[in-house]
Amino acid sequence: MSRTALLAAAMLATTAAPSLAQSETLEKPAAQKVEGLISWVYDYEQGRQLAKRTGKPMFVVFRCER
Amino acid sequence: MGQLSRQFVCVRVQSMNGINLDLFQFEYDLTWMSFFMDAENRIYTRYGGRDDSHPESHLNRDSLLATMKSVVMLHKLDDVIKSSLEPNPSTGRTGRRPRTPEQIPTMARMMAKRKNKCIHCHDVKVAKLKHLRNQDKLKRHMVFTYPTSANLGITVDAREQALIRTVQTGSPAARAGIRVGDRIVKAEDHRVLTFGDLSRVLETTPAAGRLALQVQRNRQVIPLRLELANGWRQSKDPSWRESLHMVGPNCGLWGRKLNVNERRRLKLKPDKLALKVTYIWGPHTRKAGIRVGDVIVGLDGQTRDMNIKQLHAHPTLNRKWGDTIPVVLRRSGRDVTVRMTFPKGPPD
Repeated sequence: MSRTALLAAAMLATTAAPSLAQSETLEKPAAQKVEGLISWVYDYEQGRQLAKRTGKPMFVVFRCER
Repeated sequence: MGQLSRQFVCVRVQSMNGINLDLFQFEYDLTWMSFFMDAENRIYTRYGGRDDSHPESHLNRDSLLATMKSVVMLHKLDDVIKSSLEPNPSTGRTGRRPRTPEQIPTMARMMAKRKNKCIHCHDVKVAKLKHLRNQDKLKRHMVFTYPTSANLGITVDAREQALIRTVQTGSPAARAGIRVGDRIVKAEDHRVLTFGDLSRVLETTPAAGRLALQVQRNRQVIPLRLELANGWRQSKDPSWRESLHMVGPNCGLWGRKLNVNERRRLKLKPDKLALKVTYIWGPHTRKAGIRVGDVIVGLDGQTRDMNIKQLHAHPTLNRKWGDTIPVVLRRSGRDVTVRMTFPKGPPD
């Protein structure tokens, strides 16, 4: 195996997503930004922190866009 | 909408990966659902849901704006009053770790086949039903989650969603004395602002039993009690449910309804079944001798007009794995009857 291939294999081994059993959470797919009148946050926990800071209520929409 | 939305932190959840299922309990067969909450995970109201007729039967701009305005008012109340208004702050504070979709035992296998690993809302329900099936605990009625006002015999206004528009004669609602024009204030101890709020309470109502409603009529709040008999949770046309295929066999094909001209050419009436087969994926369908291009005009004695999802729903809800049913096909101008035997059990 060439050095480059070995390096690539080593990188894969360290960066590959853990299995479901290990992580208990599948990696979240990247957000698909929605343009329009509303300015969206695409992560619930991030939204909750923002609601805490601003004192605003949250409007949480569940919508698959894939 | 834009101006009002700036009074909220607007969160758009595009996949169910890692989502707290203790907190976000809703009809996972839906394609759109929303929650209005505070930063402490207290739910003010749920906005969303549908009846059998249309995916957006209760989604519209006016009702959403009205709901947003109500939430702005509720949010301004102090914490003591708020907690008295919210008898069921949904979990996430019970001490144990919240459940996530990934913890459903069948989910890993389902996701292994999917490239982008995106868990859709309906995947959550399908995975749960699969898990029950693996334990031999799955029953057909379990697909009927989150009943709606229609299951009580009432329809609510699409815009003012606590306002009762119709009451069906002889229904549980009619027998309890509910009238057109009544406004639902509470179901059990839960405030009802929307179609989604009522549906959430109905989800937790037993398969047979009583439901306490408070309605406002002429400035009076009237307590009423509905008697719900076995089977009240089922609806007439659940074919829209993505999870339906979990509870019984299907026809193993895709097809489309014939248009008026195509029906005329084949001498088929507009109110009768006429589905052209466009794709076959079930081995049992091929084995029956059904071909792409055939027009299905009868299925298991059913000849009423149906779309493809309704066609699948018939055996799913009425036949068992391993059953054999007749299928009538219009082929080259003649009717041909074939017999389709469903597989002995569901696919893995």
